[in-house]
Amino acid sequence: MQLPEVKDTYYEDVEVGVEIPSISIGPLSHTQFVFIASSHHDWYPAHHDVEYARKQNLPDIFMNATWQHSLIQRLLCGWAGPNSIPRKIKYRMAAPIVRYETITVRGVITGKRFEGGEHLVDLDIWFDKEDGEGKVKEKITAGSAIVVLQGKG
Amino acid sequence: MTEHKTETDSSGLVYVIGTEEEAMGWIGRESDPVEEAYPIETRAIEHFVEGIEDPNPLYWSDEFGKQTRWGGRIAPWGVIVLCKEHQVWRPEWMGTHEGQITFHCRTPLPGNRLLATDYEIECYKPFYPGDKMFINEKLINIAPKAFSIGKGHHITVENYFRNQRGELCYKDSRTVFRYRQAD
Repeated sequence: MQLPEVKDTYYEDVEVGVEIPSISIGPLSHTQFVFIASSHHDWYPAHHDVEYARKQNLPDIFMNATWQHSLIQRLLCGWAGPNSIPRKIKYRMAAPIVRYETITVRGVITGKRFEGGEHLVDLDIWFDKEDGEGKVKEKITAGSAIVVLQGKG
Repeated sequence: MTEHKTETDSSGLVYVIGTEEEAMGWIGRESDPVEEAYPIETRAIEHFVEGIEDPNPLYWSDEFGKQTRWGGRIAPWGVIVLCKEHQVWRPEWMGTHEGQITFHCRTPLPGNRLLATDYEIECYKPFYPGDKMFINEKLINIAPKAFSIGKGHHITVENYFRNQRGELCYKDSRTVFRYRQAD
Protein backbone atom coordinates (compact mmCIF):
# COMPACT_ATOMS: atom_id res chain seq x y z
CA MET A 1 0.00 0.00 0.00
CA GLN A 2 1.37 3.39 -1.00
CA LEU A 3 -0.02 6.36 0.92
CA PRO A 4 -0.79 9.39 -1.25
CA GLU A 5 1.35 12.43 -0.53
CA VAL A 6 -0.12 15.34 1.43
CA LYS A 7 -1.08 17.83 -1.25
CA ASP A 8 -2.94 21.07 -0.55
CA THR A 9 -4.30 23.77 -2.81
CA TYR A 10 -2.79 27.08 -1.74
CA TYR A 11 -4.73 30.30 -1.52
CA GLU A 12 -2.19 32.16 -3.62
CA ASP A 13 -2.67 29.71 -6.51
CA VAL A 14 -6.46 30.09 -6.68
CA GLU A 15 -8.09 32.21 -9.38
CA VAL A 16 -11.60 33.58 -9.32
CA GLY A 17 -13.79 32.24 -12.14
CA VAL A 18 -12.03 28.88 -12.35
CA GLU A 19 -14.09 25.69 -12.08
CA ILE A 20 -12.65 23.14 -9.68
CA PRO A 21 -12.42 19.44 -10.72
CA SER A 22 -15.92 17.93 -10.66
CA ILE A 23 -16.83 14.53 -9.21
CA SER A 24 -19.40 12.04 -10.48
CA ILE A 25 -21.16 9.09 -8.94
CA GLY A 26 -23.62 6.66 -10.53
CA PRO A 27 -25.67 5.34 -12.17
CA LEU A 28 -27.07 4.85 -8.66
CA SER A 29 -28.26 1.31 -8.08
CA HIS A 30 -30.89 0.22 -5.58
CA THR A 31 -28.04 -1.46 -3.68
CA GLN A 32 -26.33 1.92 -3.28
CA PHE A 33 -29.51 3.40 -1.81
CA VAL A 34 -29.69 0.62 0.76
CA PHE A 35 -25.98 0.95 1.50
CA ILE A 36 -26.40 4.69 2.13
CA ALA A 37 -29.42 4.09 4.38
CA SER A 38 -27.27 1.69 6.37
CA SER A 39 -24.11 3.82 6.55
CA HIS A 40 -26.14 6.92 7.50
CA HIS A 41 -28.38 5.06 9.94
CA ASP A 42 -31.18 6.71 7.98
CA TRP A 43 -34.01 4.22 7.60
CA TYR A 44 -36.64 6.72 6.57
CA PRO A 45 -38.46 4.44 4.11
CA ALA A 46 -38.60 6.96 1.26
CA HIS A 47 -34.81 6.42 0.94
CA HIS A 48 -34.97 2.66 0.34
CA ASP A 49 -38.59 1.45 -0.07
CA VAL A 50 -39.91 2.11 -3.59
CA GLU A 51 -43.51 1.21 -2.75
CA TYR A 52 -43.50 3.59 0.22
CA ALA A 53 -42.00 6.45 -1.81
CA ARG A 54 -44.61 6.12 -4.55
CA LYS A 55 -47.41 6.13 -1.99
CA GLN A 56 -46.03 9.52 -0.91
CA ASN A 57 -46.50 10.84 -4.49
CA LEU A 58 -42.73 10.78 -4.95
CA PRO A 59 -41.29 9.50 -8.24
CA ASP A 60 -39.03 6.91 -6.59
CA ILE A 61 -36.79 6.43 -3.58
CA PHE A 62 -34.44 9.40 -3.24
CA MET A 63 -31.07 10.12 -1.67
CA ASN A 64 -31.06 11.95 1.66
CA ALA A 65 -29.74 15.42 2.46
CA THR A 66 -26.68 14.06 4.27
CA TRP A 67 -25.62 12.15 1.17
CA GLN A 68 -25.78 15.38 -0.80
CA HIS A 69 -23.79 17.20 1.88
CA SER A 70 -21.19 14.45 1.94
CA LEU A 71 -20.66 14.69 -1.82
CA ILE A 72 -20.16 18.44 -1.54
CA GLN A 73 -17.56 18.00 1.21
CA ARG A 74 -15.92 15.30 -0.95
CA LEU A 75 -15.76 17.76 -3.86
CA LEU A 76 -14.38 20.61 -1.75
CA CYS A 77 -11.93 18.70 0.43
CA GLY A 78 -10.67 16.60 -2.48
CA TRP A 79 -9.79 19.80 -4.29
CA ALA A 80 -8.60 21.91 -1.34
CA GLY A 81 -6.46 19.25 0.31
CA PRO A 82 -6.27 17.63 3.74
CA ASN A 83 -5.31 20.77 5.66
CA SER A 84 -8.32 22.75 4.46
CA ILE A 85 -11.62 23.32 6.28
CA PRO A 86 -14.98 23.50 4.48
CA ARG A 87 -16.04 26.38 6.73
CA LYS A 88 -19.54 26.86 5.35
CA ILE A 89 -21.74 24.87 3.00
CA LYS A 90 -25.26 25.96 2.12
CA TYR A 91 -27.62 24.46 -0.43
CA ARG A 92 -31.20 23.97 -1.50
CA MET A 93 -32.49 20.69 -2.88
CA ALA A 94 -34.97 21.37 -5.67
CA ALA A 95 -35.47 17.89 -7.12
CA PRO A 96 -35.07 14.35 -5.79
CA ILE A 97 -32.09 12.20 -6.78
CA VAL A 98 -33.46 8.77 -7.66
CA ARG A 99 -32.30 5.36 -8.86
CA TYR A 100 -30.26 4.95 -12.06
CA GLU A 101 -29.31 8.62 -12.16
CA THR A 102 -25.69 9.77 -12.41
CA ILE A 103 -24.79 12.80 -10.34
CA THR A 104 -22.03 15.28 -11.13
CA VAL A 105 -21.07 17.77 -8.43
CA ARG A 106 -19.44 20.97 -9.63
CA GLY A 107 -17.99 24.13 -8.14
CA VAL A 108 -16.66 27.43 -9.43
CA ILE A 109 -14.56 29.93 -7.48
CA THR A 110 -16.40 33.22 -7.04
CA GLY A 111 -14.14 35.09 -4.64
CA LYS A 112 -11.15 35.02 -2.30
CA ARG A 113 -10.25 37.09 0.73
CA PHE A 114 -8.02 37.15 3.80
CA GLU A 115 -10.28 37.62 6.80
CA GLY A 116 -9.89 36.97 10.52
CA GLY A 117 -6.45 35.52 9.93
CA GLU A 118 -7.80 32.93 7.47
CA HIS A 119 -7.43 32.47 3.72
CA LEU A 120 -11.04 32.12 2.56
CA VAL A 121 -12.29 31.10 -0.87
CA ASP A 122 -15.93 31.45 -1.96
CA LEU A 123 -17.51 29.03 -4.39
CA ASP A 124 -20.82 28.37 -6.08
CA ILE A 125 -21.64 24.68 -5.96
CA TRP A 126 -24.27 22.62 -7.72
CA PHE A 127 -25.43 19.17 -8.79
CA ASP A 128 -26.29 18.13 -12.34
CA LYS A 129 -27.99 14.81 -12.93
CA GLU A 130 -28.38 12.51 -15.91
CA ASP A 131 -31.12 9.88 -15.92
CA GLY A 132 -30.81 6.37 -17.31
CA GLU A 133 -31.81 7.59 -20.77
CA GLY A 134 -29.21 10.35 -21.00
CA LYS A 135 -31.52 13.24 -20.18
CA VAL A 136 -29.65 15.92 -18.20
CA LYS A 137 -31.08 18.28 -15.60
CA GLU A 138 -28.79 21.01 -14.32
CA LYS A 139 -28.51 22.55 -10.88
CA ILE A 140 -31.05 20.32 -9.18
CA THR A 141 -29.25 21.15 -5.96
CA ALA A 142 -27.45 24.47 -5.78
CA GLY A 143 -25.76 26.62 -3.19
CA SER A 144 -22.51 28.13 -2.04
CA ALA A 145 -19.48 27.31 0.06
CA ILE A 146 -16.60 28.95 1.88
CA VAL A 147 -13.38 26.99 2.23
CA VAL A 148 -10.38 27.82 4.42
CA LEU A 149 -7.21 27.14 2.43
CA GLN A 150 -3.59 27.01 3.41
CA GLY A 151 -1.51 30.10 2.66
CA LYS A 152 2.10 29.94 1.51
CA GLY A 153 3.27 32.61 3.92
CA MET B 1 -47.78 20.47 30.09
CA THR B 2 -50.47 19.68 27.53
CA GLU B 3 -50.72 16.04 26.49
CA HIS B 4 -50.49 15.67 22.73
CA LYS B 5 -51.47 12.94 20.36
CA THR B 6 -48.50 11.33 18.61
CA GLU B 7 -48.26 9.52 15.30
CA THR B 8 -45.45 7.21 14.20
CA ASP B 9 -44.40 6.65 10.61
CA SER B 10 -43.16 3.34 9.30
CA SER B 11 -39.53 4.32 9.91
CA GLY B 12 -40.23 4.75 13.62
CA LEU B 13 -40.19 8.56 13.69
CA VAL B 14 -42.67 9.88 16.25
CA TYR B 15 -44.51 13.13 15.45
CA VAL B 16 -46.25 15.24 18.07
CA ILE B 17 -49.54 16.38 16.58
CA GLY B 18 -50.93 19.86 17.28
CA THR B 19 -51.90 23.15 15.68
CA GLU B 20 -49.96 25.83 13.82
CA GLU B 21 -50.93 28.41 16.45
CA GLU B 22 -49.51 26.28 19.23
CA ALA B 23 -46.33 25.55 17.26
CA MET B 24 -45.62 29.25 16.68
CA GLY B 25 -45.29 29.63 20.44
CA TRP B 26 -42.42 27.13 20.35
CA ILE B 27 -40.16 29.30 18.17
CA GLY B 28 -36.99 30.15 20.09
CA ARG B 29 -37.07 27.05 22.28
CA GLU B 30 -33.67 25.46 22.87
CA SER B 31 -32.93 21.95 24.07
CA ASP B 32 -30.32 20.87 26.61
CA PRO B 33 -27.24 19.15 25.16
CA VAL B 34 -27.70 15.42 24.66
CA GLU B 35 -24.76 13.02 24.43
CA GLU B 36 -25.02 10.73 21.43
CA ALA B 37 -25.29 7.07 22.29
CA TYR B 38 -21.95 6.05 20.80
CA PRO B 39 -18.58 7.73 20.26
CA ILE B 40 -17.41 8.19 16.68
CA GLU B 41 -16.07 4.90 15.38
CA THR B 42 -13.42 4.26 12.73
CA ARG B 43 -15.50 1.52 11.15
CA ALA B 44 -18.48 3.88 10.88
CA ILE B 45 -16.26 6.45 9.13
CA GLU B 46 -15.07 3.87 6.61
CA HIS B 47 -18.61 2.60 6.06
CA PHE B 48 -19.74 6.14 5.39
CA VAL B 49 -17.00 7.17 2.96
CA GLU B 50 -17.30 3.83 1.15
CA GLY B 51 -20.89 4.77 0.33
CA ILE B 52 -19.89 8.07 -1.27
CA GLU B 53 -16.76 6.63 -2.89
CA ASP B 54 -14.56 9.22 -1.20
CA PRO B 55 -10.85 8.40 -1.67
CA ASN B 56 -9.65 11.15 0.71
CA PRO B 57 -6.87 9.45 2.75
CA LEU B 58 -7.65 11.69 5.73
CA TYR B 59 -10.68 9.48 6.39
CA TRP B 60 -8.95 6.15 5.66
CA SER B 61 -5.50 6.33 7.22
CA ASP B 62 -4.16 7.26 10.65
CA GLU B 63 -0.67 7.46 9.16
CA PHE B 64 -1.78 9.97 6.56
CA GLY B 65 -3.67 12.02 9.16
CA LYS B 66 -0.51 12.25 11.28
CA GLN B 67 1.18 14.12 8.43
CA THR B 68 -1.50 16.84 8.44
CA ARG B 69 -2.41 19.65 10.84
CA TRP B 70 -5.00 17.35 12.41
CA GLY B 71 -2.51 14.83 13.77
CA GLY B 72 -4.58 11.80 12.87
CA ARG B 73 -7.55 10.44 10.98
CA ILE B 74 -10.70 12.58 11.21
CA ALA B 75 -14.39 12.08 10.48
CA PRO B 76 -15.61 13.57 7.18
CA TRP B 77 -16.34 17.25 7.74
CA GLY B 78 -19.86 18.03 8.80
CA VAL B 79 -20.98 14.45 8.67
CA ILE B 80 -22.95 14.14 11.85
CA VAL B 81 -24.48 10.73 11.26
CA LEU B 82 -21.40 8.83 12.36
CA CYS B 83 -22.42 8.43 15.95
CA LYS B 84 -26.17 8.72 15.50
CA GLU B 85 -28.49 5.76 15.58
CA HIS B 86 -31.81 6.04 13.81
CA GLN B 87 -33.71 3.99 16.28
CA VAL B 88 -35.98 1.77 14.24
CA TRP B 89 -36.57 -0.29 17.36
CA ARG B 90 -35.49 -0.33 20.98
CA PRO B 91 -36.72 -2.39 23.94
CA GLU B 92 -39.51 -0.57 25.76
CA TRP B 93 -37.56 -0.66 29.03
CA MET B 94 -34.90 1.63 27.52
CA GLY B 95 -37.41 4.46 27.13
CA THR B 96 -36.87 7.59 25.03
CA HIS B 97 -35.30 10.81 26.21
CA GLU B 98 -37.20 13.86 24.97
CA GLY B 99 -33.95 15.41 23.83
CA GLN B 100 -33.39 12.54 21.40
CA ILE B 101 -36.39 13.65 19.35
CA THR B 102 -35.73 16.62 17.11
CA PHE B 103 -37.87 19.74 17.14
CA HIS B 104 -38.73 18.81 13.56
CA CYS B 105 -40.87 16.03 15.03
CA ARG B 106 -41.73 17.11 18.55
CA THR B 107 -43.09 20.56 17.72
CA PRO B 108 -46.90 20.15 17.78
CA LEU B 109 -48.09 20.50 14.18
CA PRO B 110 -50.58 18.67 11.95
CA GLY B 111 -47.86 17.03 9.80
CA ASN B 112 -46.85 13.40 10.14
CA ARG B 113 -44.13 13.19 7.45
CA LEU B 114 -40.83 14.99 6.73
CA LEU B 115 -38.94 16.03 3.63
CA ALA B 116 -35.63 17.95 3.84
CA THR B 117 -35.36 21.05 1.64
CA ASP B 118 -32.52 23.29 2.82
CA TYR B 119 -29.27 22.65 4.62
CA GLU B 120 -26.51 24.90 5.89
CA ILE B 121 -23.49 23.93 7.95
CA GLU B 122 -20.48 25.66 9.44
CA CYS B 123 -17.41 23.66 10.45
CA TYR B 124 -14.80 24.83 12.95
CA LYS B 125 -13.05 21.76 14.34
CA PRO B 126 -12.99 18.13 13.23
CA PHE B 127 -14.36 15.17 15.14
CA TYR B 128 -11.93 12.29 15.64
CA PRO B 129 -12.53 8.57 16.12
CA GLY B 130 -13.32 8.07 19.79
CA ASP B 131 -14.78 11.55 20.25
CA LYS B 132 -18.11 11.90 21.96
CA MET B 133 -20.67 14.21 20.42
CA PHE B 134 -23.05 16.43 22.35
CA ILE B 135 -25.89 18.03 20.42
CA ASN B 136 -28.40 20.69 21.34
CA GLU B 137 -30.88 22.36 19.04
CA LYS B 138 -32.90 25.54 18.72
CA LEU B 139 -36.19 26.02 16.91
CA ILE B 140 -35.63 28.99 14.61
CA ASN B 141 -38.72 29.33 12.41
CA ILE B 142 -42.00 27.81 11.26
CA ALA B 143 -43.76 28.91 8.07
CA PRO B 144 -46.82 27.52 6.26
CA LYS B 145 -45.90 25.97 2.91
CA ALA B 146 -47.47 23.88 0.16
CA PHE B 147 -45.78 21.54 -2.34
CA SER B 148 -47.13 18.96 -4.77
CA ILE B 149 -46.93 16.26 -2.11
CA GLY B 150 -49.15 18.19 0.29
CA LYS B 151 -49.67 21.15 2.60
CA GLY B 152 -47.65 21.68 5.72
CA HIS B 153 -44.94 23.80 7.26
CA HIS B 154 -41.29 24.60 6.73
CA ILE B 155 -39.53 24.10 10.07
CA THR B 156 -35.99 25.44 10.54
CA VAL B 157 -33.92 24.06 13.39
CA GLU B 158 -30.32 24.93 14.30
CA ASN B 159 -28.09 22.25 15.81
CA TYR B 160 -24.87 22.76 17.74
CA PHE B 161 -22.36 19.89 17.81
CA ARG B 162 -19.74 19.89 20.56
CA ASN B 163 -17.06 17.40 21.54
CA GLN B 164 -16.29 16.08 25.01
CA ARG B 165 -14.14 19.17 25.69
CA GLY B 166 -17.11 21.45 25.02
CA GLU B 167 -15.60 22.79 21.78
CA LEU B 168 -18.08 23.78 19.09
CA CYS B 169 -17.13 21.64 16.08
CA TYR B 170 -20.12 22.15 13.77
CA LYS B 171 -23.25 24.23 13.67
CA ASP B 172 -25.97 23.47 11.17
CA SER B 173 -29.39 24.67 10.11
CA ARG B 174 -31.89 22.26 8.63
CA THR B 175 -35.17 23.19 7.05
CA VAL B 176 -37.65 20.41 6.48
CA PHE B 177 -41.12 20.36 5.01
CA ARG B 178 -43.39 18.69 7.55
CA TYR B 179 -46.65 17.72 5.93
CA ARG B 180 -49.67 15.56 6.43
CA GLN B 181 -49.84 12.34 4.49
CA ALA B 182 -53.29 11.80 3.07
CA ASP B 183 -55.18 9.01 4.88
